[in-house]
Amino acid sequence: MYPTGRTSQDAPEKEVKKKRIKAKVGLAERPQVVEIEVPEQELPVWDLDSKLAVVGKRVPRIEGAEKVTGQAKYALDYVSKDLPGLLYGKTLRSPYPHARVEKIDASKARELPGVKAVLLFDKGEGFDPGKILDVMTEDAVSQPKGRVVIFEGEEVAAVAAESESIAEEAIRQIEVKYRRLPHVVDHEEAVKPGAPIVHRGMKDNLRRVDPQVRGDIDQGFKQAEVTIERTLRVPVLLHNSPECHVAVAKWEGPKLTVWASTQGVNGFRDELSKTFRIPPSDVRVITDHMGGGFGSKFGMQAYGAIAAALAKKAGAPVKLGYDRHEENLAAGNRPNATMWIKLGAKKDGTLTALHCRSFGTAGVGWDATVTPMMGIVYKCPNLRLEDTDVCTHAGQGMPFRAPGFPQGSFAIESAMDELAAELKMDPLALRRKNFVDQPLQALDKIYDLGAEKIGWSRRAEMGPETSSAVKRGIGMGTAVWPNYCGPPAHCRVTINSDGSAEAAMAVQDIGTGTRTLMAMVTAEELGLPVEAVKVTMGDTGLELIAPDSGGSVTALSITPAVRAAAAAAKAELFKRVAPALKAKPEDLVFENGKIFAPANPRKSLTWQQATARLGATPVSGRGERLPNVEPYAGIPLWGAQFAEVEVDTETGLVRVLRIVAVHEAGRALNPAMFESQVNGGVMMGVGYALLERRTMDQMEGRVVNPNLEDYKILSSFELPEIETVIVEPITPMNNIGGKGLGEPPTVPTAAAVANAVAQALGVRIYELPLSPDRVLETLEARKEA
Amino acid sequence: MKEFMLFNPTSLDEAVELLGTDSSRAQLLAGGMDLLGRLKKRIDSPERVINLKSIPGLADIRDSQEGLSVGALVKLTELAEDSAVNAKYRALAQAAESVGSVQIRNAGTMGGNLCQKPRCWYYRHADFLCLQKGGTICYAQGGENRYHAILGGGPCFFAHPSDLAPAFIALDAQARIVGPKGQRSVAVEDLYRLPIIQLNGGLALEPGEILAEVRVPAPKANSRSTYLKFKEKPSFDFSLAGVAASVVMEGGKVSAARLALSGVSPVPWRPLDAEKILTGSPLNDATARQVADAIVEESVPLLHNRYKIPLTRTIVRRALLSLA
Repeated sequence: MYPTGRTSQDAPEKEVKKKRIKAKVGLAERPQVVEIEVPEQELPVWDLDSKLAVVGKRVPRIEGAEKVTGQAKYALDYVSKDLPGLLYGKTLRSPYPHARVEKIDASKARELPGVKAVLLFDKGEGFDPGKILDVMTEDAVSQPKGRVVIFEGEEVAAVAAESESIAEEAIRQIEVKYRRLPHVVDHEEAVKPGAPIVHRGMKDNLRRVDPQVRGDIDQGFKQAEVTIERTLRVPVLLHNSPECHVAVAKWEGPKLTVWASTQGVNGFRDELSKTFRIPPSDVRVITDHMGGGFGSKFGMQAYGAIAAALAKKAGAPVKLGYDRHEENLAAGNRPNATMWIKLGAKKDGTLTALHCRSFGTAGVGWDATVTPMMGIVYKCPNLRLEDTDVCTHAGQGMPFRAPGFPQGSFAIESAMDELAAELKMDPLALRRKNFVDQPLQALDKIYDLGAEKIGWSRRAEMGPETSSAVKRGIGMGTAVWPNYCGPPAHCRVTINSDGSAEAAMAVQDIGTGTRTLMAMVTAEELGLPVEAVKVTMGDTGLELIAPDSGGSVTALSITPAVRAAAAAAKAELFKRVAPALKAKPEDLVFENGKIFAPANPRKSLTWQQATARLGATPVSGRGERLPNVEPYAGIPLWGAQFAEVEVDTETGLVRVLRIVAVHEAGRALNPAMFESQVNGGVMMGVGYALLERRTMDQMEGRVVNPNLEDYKILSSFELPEIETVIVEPITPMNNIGGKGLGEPPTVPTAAAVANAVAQALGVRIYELPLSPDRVLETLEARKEA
Repeated sequence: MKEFMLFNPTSLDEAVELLGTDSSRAQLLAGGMDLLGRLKKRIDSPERVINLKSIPGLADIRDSQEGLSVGALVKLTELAEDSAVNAKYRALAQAAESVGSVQIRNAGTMGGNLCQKPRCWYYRHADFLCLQKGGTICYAQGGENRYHAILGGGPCFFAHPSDLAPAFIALDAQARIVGPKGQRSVAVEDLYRLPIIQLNGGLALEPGEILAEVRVPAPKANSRSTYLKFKEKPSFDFSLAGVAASVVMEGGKVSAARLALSGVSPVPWRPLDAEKILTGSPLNDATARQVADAIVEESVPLLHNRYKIPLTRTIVRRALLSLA
């Protein structure tokens, strides 16, 4: 499963009273009234009949002005002006992919003026951030017993100094004697017998994931009238968040505060607590704003552990971050894959069997799984999905926006298009034929809208037969991502005597707009304008647990709790003012600017009059994320993308002209933010399709492009025109009526582009990226054939 | 980066003196676009950095009847936007426009663009001690070489990154060099040496010499020029294959031609045989194809850059046809 930041503080299961309520849900043009069972305290679902004033509107980011004027403070921004005595940390990393560390001599570094702490990671076999206290020493000279480094960039030592340049110089003054050992960085080499073993104690480099099996694959292929079989490859990708990993650690006695660029303040806090053997209540992790994570910033990791260890040793706050080179060696990546896929179908296109065997490398880490996407995207009665992790001497993989799904999408969508060609069927018709039908799902409408907006019928005039050297094509792919949102999430909303409200939660805004959503939902429930709501977040000190931000869980894990907290705060306010209105609190409403009991509308208070009565004791309410309503929680997040491309057959350059991205997230909480998610996902997906690939030198086992010069990411100039189409099937899964959106927009993009390129060229390229070298080599090979 | 002393000389003579003759100890700073990356990665760790921007008179573009003079510190943006350069020396304006990003063109200079160090991911990675850095092996030759040279490579295979150099060579430009022994003038073409002749960047400047200016002769009647560059990332990238072409037309035929390529060789590559084919021929598709074929005929691709052959062919053909 995907990490969702469930913590040790999860509420224990308790006996809850249930009630049955009705909700009008689904698409507005085909509403359905469903009856659901929910805990007694659950609010009615914001459904199709709800009149919402704020939610669903294009509300600008509440921190937008702060960000564009440079006021917003990121962990990377902290300097000694903010934290007097702040030191700068730097990590010494192995230049070799596999070597025994025979001697570390840090005596020169320690004597450098301005150096305040030096730590050697010389005990144990490797560097595990969670065991930093056990693997580090403060010696000047060490002859480690069994210390081995297993990838280029592995941590060997660290220093803290008065300036970044002193720290950098100190690192260079540490002399390390390595004895090189044989390495393997290519996953297709690492599977061969006799390949160097990455993890000592393992007999080979393989870990087979339990296959996912449905039906009978042999029977499925026997029933098939057409089969196709292909092998496809995708490269390792690097996250390259604008803000590299960075943490600032400060000890005050036994208490530790860390400002971090992290996707999960709670997960980070829990790991610090375990690693430094102090209670969670003595650790505080703060993330006000962050410059992207995309999956690479879960947990404490090396940067958090080293920053805290150096700060403790130096007796002063320490800032430790990675530069771009370090980031691209040691901060995570999207694993690559070699995917063999076989499809079987009836002549009418009905899928009868799907078999995929994939292997890829997450470097020294685990989880290069790509097939889960294939198990849910199309209906197929017989399938067998087999993933194998292959260890190599390279930096460890981390979740990367929709882990495994863009890889799997490239394989299955390519295979589906080729199957369609075999069947002489329209590729979209083949998808419709094998469509997964679920309650309240709108995939049929998603396909209709996408086909209409891209002009699917124009495909007929495109392809390789046109006279120009520049060919055009249109292709598509289906977006899918399981729904992972749910408890726990706790929120507190406070109403102040000046009429303002504050929503507080220990959740972080990783750039997706979480802060704004909290304000919007609070404003909606209280009946206030968004400007009247202040949001406090990104601080474990609030003790209002929320999930780490990943897996598209944040928005719809937290907003139902925010709404519940706002409702509870409003109820408290009504209790306080009910005597003055001579009414029961539960009879009061706040409508048209007035609080009153509908039975006696003449007796009323304005919001300001009511809150003024609170005086020095504001009211607050707490809200909790209640469990998802089944079976609706089992319905994935769906979408489809359609790409139109132009390929210059004489230079190999692919230009993506247009992407039509049709997505659903249940209720769309803020269409502007919805579009932002889609724009970002498409941008990453087009980069995956056209440019991005980590390249490693096989002989030396090093990354040759750990930078933004040779690891090419899309710039705004290469962005296609992106048309986002929002489909809004309201779900009764939670009181908001929504699902999530972070991952789906990057799932099908590369596949859709690849299908468009294949149509344009009349020949398919089975490996990403579809760069000029690949396009030209493919066309030359066809010429020779 | 390593700490260094920054000097702000006010004359070229003073700069020459400060530079000395040991390039490992002193480096010149103009726009800093190439130098900064090398300092940060400690590819170079000089004791002295000599800032040329404090010297007056190096940042002028002067156009006259004799020709064009471009000071070493002229910014790429200025070159790309200059009206005389656009009107009479089109290849040069296009080459300047094709460099990097807006920000790089606003800071980067003509001299810096001509004097770039090798653009190779092994050279630019601090942990690879390659041939150009005094090592004994070219890692690219048997390693990751999709961006590398197909012409003139060996024993080092980087692809020359300058866009201005091919344009200047096609326009038959001369460089004015100032050094410890005084001034000299040299064809831009002769500023570059193949790795088989010289490593350490391949720039044919003597120790202590500084490029001060480039002079381009006035265009002949009925002449035209162009620079066409192919980038993997169209908005912002080095050349994967580029060509500058300058032709003089007479009676529907090419009477004189000069060609120079970027991104395909460790030097800006001048294909003399191809120029001969072009000279005396009409400027049409058949000629363009012959010229393109002649250029790639002697290419020796590595494992991952065979695609540069058809790519170079296309770029040359399209550049020539754009002059027709």
